[in-house]
Amino acid sequence: MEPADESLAAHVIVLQAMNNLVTHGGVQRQGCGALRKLAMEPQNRAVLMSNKHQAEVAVLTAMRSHPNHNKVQKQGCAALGAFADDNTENQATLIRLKAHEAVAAAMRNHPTQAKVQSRGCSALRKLLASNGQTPPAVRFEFKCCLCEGK
Amino acid sequence: MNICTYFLQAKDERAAIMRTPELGIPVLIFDAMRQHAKVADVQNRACRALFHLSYKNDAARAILLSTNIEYKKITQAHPVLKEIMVVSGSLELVANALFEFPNQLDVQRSACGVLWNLTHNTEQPLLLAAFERSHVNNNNGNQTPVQALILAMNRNMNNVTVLQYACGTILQLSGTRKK
Repeated sequence: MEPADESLAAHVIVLQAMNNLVTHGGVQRQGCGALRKLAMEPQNRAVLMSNKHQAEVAVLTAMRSHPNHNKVQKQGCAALGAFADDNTENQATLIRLKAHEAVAAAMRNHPTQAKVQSRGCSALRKLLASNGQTPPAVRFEFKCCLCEGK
Repeated sequence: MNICTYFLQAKDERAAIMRTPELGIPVLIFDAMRQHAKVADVQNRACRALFHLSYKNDAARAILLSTNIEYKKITQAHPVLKEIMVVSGSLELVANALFEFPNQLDVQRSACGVLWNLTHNTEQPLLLAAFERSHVNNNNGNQTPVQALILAMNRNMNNVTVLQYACGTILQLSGTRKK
């Protein structure tokens, strides 16, 4: 699959750096952040999570390798949320890879870190809630009694 | 009431994850709200998550396309998630967010949406009991979720969404409707 825009050319380098330096928290944190930014463009999400690139695996590996690094966890949650946002296929893939468990673990391990908690909440919403739709909280059908029967 | 007692056989994978007691995802969100009661970003994102997650996933999609009658059928069949949230103290948490962040429209909107989703088609006695026992202690004393709603409406008279959600909640609390 071809990159949807030029900025996506960066993703290959970022993923390569993340895969080569799994134990380096700083690289993993910045890498997750870069992938999150790239995934903000809807057309990039499918490319990032294609079989060829598997950015989601890199992010999950980063989160699982650095459970105590709050910044990796924060950026990881944000990246997973961005991948899942408004994309049903990505949601399904991420759930299959148990991304929700990684997010839950991040929230559980970093209860005092507001940014991990807020990104975690967002990621859970994007992973588990209905895709891209605002819940239809109120749907009343009003009928005007004056017009009824006319 | 124990949250685990609400574990039901799942029909939707994502809803099943939400209901799995071992993962405790609703509880994680509540804990985030408790721990960071003064952080607007946490309150906003948590309320948005509860707003969306308090709705059954497959139901939400169907409801957008369905008639009112189908909508009632679906939500009556899946009230479990909402009940989990009602019994877990989410009312206090959401009301607290409304009191704490009067000028954050996102928080006001999502919080009113959560309250509406929680009240809609939830069993009336459970709902009224939950509202009666819920109180928020702040500078103005002991306040209730209904007071939080009324304040939200008062502050957001120009916001249709806030007013719609808040009115919907008050309608649900105000008694039985003609069926």
